[in-house]
Amino acid sequence: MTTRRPRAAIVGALAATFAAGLFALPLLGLVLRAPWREFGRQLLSPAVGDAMRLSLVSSTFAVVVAFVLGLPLAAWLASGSSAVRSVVRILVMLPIVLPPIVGGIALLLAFGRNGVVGSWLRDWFDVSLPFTTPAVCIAAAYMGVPFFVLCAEAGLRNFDRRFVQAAASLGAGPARRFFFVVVPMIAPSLTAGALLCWARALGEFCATQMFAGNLAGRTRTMPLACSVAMENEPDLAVLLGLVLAAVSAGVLLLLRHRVLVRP
Amino acid sequence: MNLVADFALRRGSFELAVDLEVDASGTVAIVGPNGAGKSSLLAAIAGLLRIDRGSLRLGDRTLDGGPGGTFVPPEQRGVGMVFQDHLLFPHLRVVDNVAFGLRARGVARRQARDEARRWLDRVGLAEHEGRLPAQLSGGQAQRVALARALAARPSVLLLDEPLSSIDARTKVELRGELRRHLDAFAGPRLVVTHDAVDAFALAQRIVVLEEGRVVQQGSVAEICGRPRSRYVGDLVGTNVFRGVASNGVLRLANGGSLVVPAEPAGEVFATVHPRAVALYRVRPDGTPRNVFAVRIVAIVPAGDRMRVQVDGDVPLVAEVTPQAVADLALAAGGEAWVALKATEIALDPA
Repeated sequence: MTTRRPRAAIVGALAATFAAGLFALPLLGLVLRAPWREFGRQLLSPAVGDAMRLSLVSSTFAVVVAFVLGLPLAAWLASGSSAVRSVVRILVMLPIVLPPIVGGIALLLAFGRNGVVGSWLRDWFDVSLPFTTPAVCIAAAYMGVPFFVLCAEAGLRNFDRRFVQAAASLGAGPARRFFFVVVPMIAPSLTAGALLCWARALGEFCATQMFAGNLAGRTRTMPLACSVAMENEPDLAVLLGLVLAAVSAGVLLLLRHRVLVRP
Repeated sequence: MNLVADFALRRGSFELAVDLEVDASGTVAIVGPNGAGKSSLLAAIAGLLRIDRGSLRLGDRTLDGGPGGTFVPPEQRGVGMVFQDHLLFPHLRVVDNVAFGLRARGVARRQARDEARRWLDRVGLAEHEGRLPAQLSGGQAQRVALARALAARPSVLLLDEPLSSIDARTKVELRGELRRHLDAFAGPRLVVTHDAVDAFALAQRIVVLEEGRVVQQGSVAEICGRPRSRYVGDLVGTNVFRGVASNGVLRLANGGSLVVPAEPAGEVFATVHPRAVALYRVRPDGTPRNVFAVRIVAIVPAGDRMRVQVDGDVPLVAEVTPQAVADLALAAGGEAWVALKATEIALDPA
């Protein structure tokens, strides 16, 4: 054993270096290439501002949808086990593993002008979703909310139901039990889910482009702006990339220090 | 206001069937071995478990079952419960835990907190109001759980194993406090316990549950004097046998027999106080009618006495002085003779 230890250490060090290089070098490239002198001016340009606003609006919308619709859905999924629940769970979780382009096509086929729901919306309300800001929001929610439901259901399943019984024996009705006992007690899961949902929605690119297009000021979010800039303004692309990378790192930091590691 | 529980409920292959009336005159202890249905009984009264047959009534109000098939949800029953592991809400400070029931009833936050503080004061924890449950000791958590249940002003109070998770030193103190709070409570109150001392210390009446049935109920004195099952016998420290008596001979279920008084006959409970069981090194020659060889299973101290558990045709517990154990050189695994006077065996029709 003693003779093998140095070799194992070398192998370990090599693996670590390789892995670190694989993940760190691209980021390093981004940092080194960044036009730091132009940083402030570029960031304040109207085009970048529009993209940021759109990204913030759509990703925040996804989080709102997560709480308003995703939480009741997670509560229902966690409340038992049945074939219907299993099917619904697979449908809800699908966007997590689905190639985003497929998600985009699916959204377009459903909500597009001639889509299943889209044609009905057009005929009855004269509403057309594709290539609008609401479409960006829908794509963001479609991609982000599943992460929230995943975390919320896990939190609810691990929740000790007897606390609900204790609350009931103290006179608390179903709503008070849910909002004053269950939600605060599974808050770490909900926060983690909301952060993942928000981060995923913020980075959404493929489905958005497919379903909402790439219209400056209306549907061009940060990732889309980044992709456009790469073609004629590489410096701006690097800049936008850095901002997105910084936000993602921030989310990870939050997950690690506020949510996943309990005080 | 009486609580009338006359119902049956099934959980898998287990059935709990009870017919109990609990008035507000004193505390009732529900005792029984594990799996006897004690917790299910409390859960049904609290509305956490539905009954399948019969009815559960509080005063003139049907809580569950009955001809109308009523079910009053737990939050509308006014049945307070103290859970075995307290179940204090971990995210709420102690004062807000205690105020929870009042808030649920619509009492304003400030008023609810003020009242919660009065309850905390009553259980001696006024200075802990700002703590989180995780910062409390077991005994403190138990007191907070009691204060929380009482602050919600329930009309029935249920306690599930209130002292089981408390260390021995705190227990004695807490038992006295619990007794005071129970005696001060105005409605029916039930305490589930598997500890005889807790039951006798807290309650005026004892209900014994075994395998989902009430096998005996009565005052503490009645239960101690005439335990009706092996479990209750062990609980109160008396030997209990069930068998069929005829012509002064009691045939036990396991095949053994005892010479007993001639009356009563038929299915009976025989109780023998451990102090009436005499032990000998060699076969005694005297008046006792029951003399048989036994093997010593265990010798355990009980207060200033030793309880000697023996096995043979009739498994028994004898209570002797430590001096006698030493003089007779009794040891676990050894042989001995038991002598038991027929007149020391009390028979009760089963």
